Amino acid sequence: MATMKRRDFLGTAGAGLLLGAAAGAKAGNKADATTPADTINLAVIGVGSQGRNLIDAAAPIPKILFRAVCDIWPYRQQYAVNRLKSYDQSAQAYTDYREMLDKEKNLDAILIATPDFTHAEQIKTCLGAGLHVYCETMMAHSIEAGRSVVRAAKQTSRLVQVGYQRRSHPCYRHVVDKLLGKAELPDQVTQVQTRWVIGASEAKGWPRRHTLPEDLLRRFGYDNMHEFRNWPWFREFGAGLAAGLMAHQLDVVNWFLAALPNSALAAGGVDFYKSRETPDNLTAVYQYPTAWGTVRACGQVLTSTRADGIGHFEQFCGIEGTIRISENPKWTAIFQDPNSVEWDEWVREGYLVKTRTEPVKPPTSGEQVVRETCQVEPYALPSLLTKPPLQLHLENFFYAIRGKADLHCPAEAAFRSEVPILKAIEAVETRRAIDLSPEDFAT
Amino acid sequence: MPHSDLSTQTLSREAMATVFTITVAHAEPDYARQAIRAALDELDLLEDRLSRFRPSSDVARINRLQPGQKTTVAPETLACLQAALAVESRTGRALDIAYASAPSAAARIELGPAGSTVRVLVPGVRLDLGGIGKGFAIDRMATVLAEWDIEAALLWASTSTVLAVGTPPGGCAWSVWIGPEDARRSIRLVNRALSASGVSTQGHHIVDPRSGRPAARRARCWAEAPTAAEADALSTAFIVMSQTEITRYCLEHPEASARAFDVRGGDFATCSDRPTRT
Repeated sequence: MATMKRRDFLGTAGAGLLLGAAAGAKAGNKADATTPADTINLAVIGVGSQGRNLIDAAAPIPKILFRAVCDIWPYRQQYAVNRLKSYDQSAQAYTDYREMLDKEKNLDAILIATPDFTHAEQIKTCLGAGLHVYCETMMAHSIEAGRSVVRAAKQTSRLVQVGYQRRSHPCYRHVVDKLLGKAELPDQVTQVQTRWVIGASEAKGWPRRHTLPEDLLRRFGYDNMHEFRNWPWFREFGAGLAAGLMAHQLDVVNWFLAALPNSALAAGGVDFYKSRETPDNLTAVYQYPTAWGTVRACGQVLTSTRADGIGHFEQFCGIEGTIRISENPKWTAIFQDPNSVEWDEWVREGYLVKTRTEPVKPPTSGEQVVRETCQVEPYALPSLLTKPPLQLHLENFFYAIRGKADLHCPAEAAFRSEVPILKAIEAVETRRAIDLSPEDFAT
Repeated sequence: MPHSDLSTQTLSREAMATVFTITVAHAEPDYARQAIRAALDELDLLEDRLSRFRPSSDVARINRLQPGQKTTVAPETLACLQAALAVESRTGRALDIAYASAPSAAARIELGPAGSTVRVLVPGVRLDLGGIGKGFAIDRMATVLAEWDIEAALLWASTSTVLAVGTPPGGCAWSVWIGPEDARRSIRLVNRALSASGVSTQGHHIVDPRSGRPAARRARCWAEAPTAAEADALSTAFIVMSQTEITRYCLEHPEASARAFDVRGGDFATCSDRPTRT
């Protein structure tokens, strides 16, 4: 490493991780004299709430330097610049990302947190400029757009990581590696449920004095501020709750089952928000051909009250028990069927944590001690989460740029999770069941 | 705009193991409700940062650090810690956000100096922002409302901390009540916060950091201050401080005031040089 120049290092590090990566030269990213050799220079496009989360997650990571922020809303630009100042970082603000790419010649990677309908074009433009890209979900607003991103990534030597952050969450990885993998718990999975409820609340507004002029809104595709602030409501810009929430959970289902669905049923509608187009309540049912046989997965995204006592989760029901997992450890629990074999071995191995002191087993002989009732309590996962999951996902991206890791969610994986989401939307709109074939997932 | 043209809108959200409620007075009800939503969205972010029960929060990460290690935290976390340490210093550690830590006479954490970093200085640091976090969250939400040019609002964390912004429609101050059931008294607030701490609702949950034992000096006390964070923190501190200590504090810090009643049911002991009671 001592003899390798920084631009060579960053320019080649990711190439080996991509199938069919071309030996393309990386345009225009340069180290300046004041930054360490493996510093990654970043810009972020879109600094709304998720863009702020990206800044907060990335800025604390060593050798990550924000050079620029881009947003069509000056209110947000200023907020992002000020926020970066509090992390001792200074960034130039832009309205148009193309102008930013033209002027910022020191960039290595771009973070994208703009509305879904802009993602594919922005990703491809950034790849074309020789930059690695981290893009929030959904990667694309249509199946064809998603396919074009995967192809663009393959044709460059750049990396595309998509923000399905559960793939970097240590508890989720623990379940895949240890429970489903080594311990083979909970044996044959027969059903999956995913559920995410958001509280019914107001449409997003904006401080009146920060209203954008109409000509600027139209230049970027919006008729008015309401559309701009509530873009997931409108089919032209996004796919609503299915894209924003269910896509994350379906990505987990694909990942845990190591399979892709072969059919989609869905029902949904606009039940609460009268002026929106995309469903605010949606239930989808997918069938997965797996080594166990057919597994059915039911996903729900709901607009009601958040005070339901069970939170949001993905739940895998097997013969020997149930794995319920959530980003929030509060909602994660592993339930053992009373007829299953002992799980003590997995407790000793550190795969599971007992939350009870006495095992609860059915009586098997006359020697059982008669005593007070034992409470059935689920097992827990070990405490593995030490950083915000978004930060871990970004760290994986940065490690991959430096050639020290494989991406946890490259564009191909994201595409395979987004096809079923877009098909569920289609199923709602056409009121028919949809078959999915391997060709649907081909890139 | 005449005050009589204003209507009030109220929304609540669950966070930090309680319910926050915001009332806004504004001529446009939809605008008021959108402003409240924006403020409550900020609350969700703060809980992610400040809760010691969330393993990836800033506070949980600080609590896992070894001496000499540092971590970068969100600017809001740093601001909350700065506010807490300021009250700790002014009250002689009657408020101690590290009360659950291993005993140490030395400073436990160091903030900054560059960036938004926190360094742990001694072994066994366990921060708990429960004595100030809710008030701090109220102040942050008030900042959001100010960005929306909201001039009249009342922000509550449960029933324990309240910040009054401006004045209500048709009134010259927001009125709230304090005191025991049989001796309630009205407090009028304008651009000030009031916070209560006590042992009657959650039992002896307040620990006197100077003794390490549950505080038992008085059943409930109130602190009034310019910000909700300060009022929240001071009410926590006042409940373990003696009457003399509270009186001295209020004389030295005229921006704050205190009211307390004894656990034996005695009348209010008021420590204030400001005529805030009606």
